[in-house]
Amino acid sequence: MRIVVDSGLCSGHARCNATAEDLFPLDDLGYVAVTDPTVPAGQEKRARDAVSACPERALSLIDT
Amino acid sequence: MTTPTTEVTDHRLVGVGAVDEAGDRFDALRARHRVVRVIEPERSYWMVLDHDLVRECLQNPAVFSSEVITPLSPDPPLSMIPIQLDPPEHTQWRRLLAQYFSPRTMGLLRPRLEERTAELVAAIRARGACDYVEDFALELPTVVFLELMGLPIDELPTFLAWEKQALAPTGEGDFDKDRQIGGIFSVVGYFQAEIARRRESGERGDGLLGAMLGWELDGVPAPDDALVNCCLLLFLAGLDTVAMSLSFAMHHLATHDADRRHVAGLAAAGEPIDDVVEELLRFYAVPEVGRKVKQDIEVGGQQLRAGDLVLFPLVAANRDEALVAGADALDLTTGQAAPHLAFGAGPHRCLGSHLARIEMTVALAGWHRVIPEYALRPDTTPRAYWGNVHGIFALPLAEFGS
Ligand code: HEM
Ligand code: SF4
Repeated sequence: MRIVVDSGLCSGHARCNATAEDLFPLDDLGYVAVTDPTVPAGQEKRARDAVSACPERALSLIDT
Repeated sequence: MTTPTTEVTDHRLVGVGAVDEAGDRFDALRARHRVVRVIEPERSYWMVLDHDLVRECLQNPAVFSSEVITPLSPDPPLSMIPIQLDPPEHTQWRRLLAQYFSPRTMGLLRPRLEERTAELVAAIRARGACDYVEDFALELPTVVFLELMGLPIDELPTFLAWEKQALAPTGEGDFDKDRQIGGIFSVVGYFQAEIARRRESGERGDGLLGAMLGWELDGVPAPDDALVNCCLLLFLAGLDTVAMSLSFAMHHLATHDADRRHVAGLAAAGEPIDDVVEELLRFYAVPEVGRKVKQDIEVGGQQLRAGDLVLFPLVAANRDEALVAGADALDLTTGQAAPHLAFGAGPHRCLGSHLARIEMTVALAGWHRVIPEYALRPDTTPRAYWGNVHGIFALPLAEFGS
């Protein structure tokens, strides 16, 4: 599973980060800055919860 | 395909009524329509009630310009920074401001907030009764504002007085323009003098204001009048929004025993109340945000024309079933917060949202730890007003238990 960020839509609500801090780190301005888009095994539910927490619908997941 | 315009003539942007009416007055309309044309005697505007449409419009600043942010002021005399700027000009300011409002930076204010909350709550507990609006809700965000800007705390009474002048309605829910302008001029005058003083002393001084004095736009120092403008907006944006979100939250808890006990239980156990705060923010979202249409566009089957004004009552979007099943009721126990729009969407997403969330969690947890039992003072019925921001005139609380 991989995280896909539409950075044009991210406006820095940081709800993804509040849900799963390790998977969705923020940059200095508070916008999402995913460094490793691969979701580690066992973390799928947290990734899904974080994606659905985004008010902008800026995040999605694709199965790999 | 556009459909004939759905006109509504009995809706009013500004008014007063029972506390629940502030948010409930959209429910019946939303059940039937996604977008309507509101015709009032003094103004007309489109109103978007559907969650997805509100988000999509706010994410599209090229069509929905922030040049006008409320149908109450269709020809604004001044463009407030950054809230009335469109990209790309907006983006420059936002980049300068964002790091001072990031979740990490805001977290640093938490200890100061906890301390101040504890002081205020202890005093209220000792008195055995309070007006939550006056004695707590307005005071806390003003303290935070001074702290954040790097201004001395002795300015608190002065700023509180200006805030009431600039933001609070009269008893009838009307806004007395002269009084408001007086308050705003006082704040502007204060920042002009403070910036001049810091420039002359050669030391930028503390806080965000100090940082602002070093800002550049396109390699040129930001002009002082733009900085004063931005300070004014920070003052206007972060005080009554927090105060009133807190007041609606406390009114709900004071009138819903099971919910109050739930929050008090979490607070007593030292458990996080973040989800409680999200749900209260969602259900009682206080801002109604406006935009001006820049080019003809169809929204939800209605034809909007360039020059039209649009209103997005965020509480309506937040209670739409499209957001989450059961959105028309408040539920503090879902365990997962809905991705609501109380802080808006798109490039103008509330810059202070991370601060506001901390203020709300600290304020509610700090209160319930010390005063888990309380109720509306008998024989009082709080009243709400609505406009660009919903508010409550006074919230007398008592019956704190033993
Ligand atoms: C619960 C409290 C709050 C709520 C519900 C709230 C809501 C909002 C909303 C909906 C917007 C977007 C307006 C638009 O799109 O036209 C906004 C913008 C803004 N808010 Fe807040 N706000 C709150 C607290 C704060 C605080 C504490 C601050 C800190 C100073 C703040 C500063 C701002 C600023 C500067 C903007 C303009 C951002 C921009 O234009 O890029 N707000 N707020
Ligand atoms: S929740 Fe959405 S908008 Fe907010 S930081 Fe994460 S991706 Fe960006």
